[in-house]
Amino acid sequence: MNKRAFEIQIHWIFILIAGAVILAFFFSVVSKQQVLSEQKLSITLSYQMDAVFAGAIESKGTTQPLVTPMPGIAFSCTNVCDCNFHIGKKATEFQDKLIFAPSMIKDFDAWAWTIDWKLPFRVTNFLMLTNPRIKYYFIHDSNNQDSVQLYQRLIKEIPTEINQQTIESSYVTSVSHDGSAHTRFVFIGTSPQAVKLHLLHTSFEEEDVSAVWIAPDLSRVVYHEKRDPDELEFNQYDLPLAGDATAYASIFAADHQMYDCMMQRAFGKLQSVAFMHNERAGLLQQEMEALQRFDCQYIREDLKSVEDAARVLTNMATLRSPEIDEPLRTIRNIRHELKRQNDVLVKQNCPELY
Amino acid sequence: MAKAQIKMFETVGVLVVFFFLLVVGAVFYFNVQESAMEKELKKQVLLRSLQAAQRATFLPELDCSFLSVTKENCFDLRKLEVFPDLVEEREQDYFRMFGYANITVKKVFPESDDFYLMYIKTLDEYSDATKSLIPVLLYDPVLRTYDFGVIEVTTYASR
Repeated sequence: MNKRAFEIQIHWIFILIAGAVILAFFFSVVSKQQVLSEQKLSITLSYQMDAVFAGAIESKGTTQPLVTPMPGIAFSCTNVCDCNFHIGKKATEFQDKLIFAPSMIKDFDAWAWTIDWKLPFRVTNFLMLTNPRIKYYFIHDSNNQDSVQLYQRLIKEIPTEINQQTIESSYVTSVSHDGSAHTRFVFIGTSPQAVKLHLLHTSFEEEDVSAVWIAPDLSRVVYHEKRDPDELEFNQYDLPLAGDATAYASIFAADHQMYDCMMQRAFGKLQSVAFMHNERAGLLQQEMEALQRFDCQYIREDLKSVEDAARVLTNMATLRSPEIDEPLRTIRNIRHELKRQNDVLVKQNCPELY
Repeated sequence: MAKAQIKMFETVGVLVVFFFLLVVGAVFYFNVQESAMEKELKKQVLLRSLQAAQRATFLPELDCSFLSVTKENCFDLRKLEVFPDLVEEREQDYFRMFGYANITVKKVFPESDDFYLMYIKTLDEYSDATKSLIPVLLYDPVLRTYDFGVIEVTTYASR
């Protein structure tokens, strides 16, 4: 090979290398930009959704549609109650918001339903989220009066917008999968034996299906969650209820973990609110005495009992059933007494207890 | 100098100019991106401040009710007095809610110097502080009167 031909070859090799370097540079810039813009979009959407949830949770008693971002929103709580919603790879903490939502909302817009939890004073608001991909079967036993009454009481508050169907407990095994991304069976006040999920139609075998059983006296809820994604075998988790709002929350929570974590926070809020009412009652008592209004009597013991019971329940994950039952009973019983005391104060033209 | 060497220098020269233009373009692009990010950050701080103010006005710990009907955007004055004790007891919960922020409530009508410190958690070194004001009602449960007030929320963004 002569010198000239060799120089031309070297020249072309040099151009090829330079071209490859330039191409590689552009490819790396483009791929970095793609990752960055995806992350930026996830962050922006997360901030926006957080603001939307914060706004929705304050509009109690309303049902409103929420636009779901394209990647969908995943909701989850870990064993240590680290609860987040995820848009893309961005995780955003629930913070103080009590959200009961399915594990994934996508494809369709979501429905947000807000209710307040009263015991009998307002403790906090619960935000329930769902969308048409999730099918709820509300099941009652028409031969059981308790079940029928509880069903009628609960169903009248549930928004009609959600994808729901009411069936008799005896028909559960004849229901087949309708293509929903998740199916939840809600047994309202039926006997626990009515929950025969192992006998569900075979079309549910490989589908995402779960159930909640709500006790007739609204004292507890039992979650039935699939042990194996491909089989109709279920694990059971028994958790406490405290009023109608918590029953609704249990229906909309993705799993027992989410319900448990949110309720621990809710009891934390109850502790704070009861503390405030108790301290306020103390101030009012002093002022009423100074005004010679001895007919205005504020009984603070009950508020203190609620505060103490709520304090115990904020750690309910670490407690056994008998340890939970006692404070729950206290809360359930005292709410009526607090309402009675408040009514008496109103009749006597005294400042109210709450 | 050989002809080939001159050609090589030409190619290198073209590459140097090309990369120079590329770097200038990249610097300009990243500067634009940076200022857009700063704007976005400011927007987020403002949003956080408004959210904190919104959260504060809806706190069930402070709400006022008359004949069991809760009034929106209203604080019970007796509850405002004891709220700092609660914040002290459950500091972590309120930090999770408000983060680094100062929240005060001032009575504005009838004219008064009364003000209540609700939550104080100032950041020593911060890049930005945003203030949000929301009008609220202040309820006196003994006199059964409503005054006008303003809740002032200052949130801080760390450096």
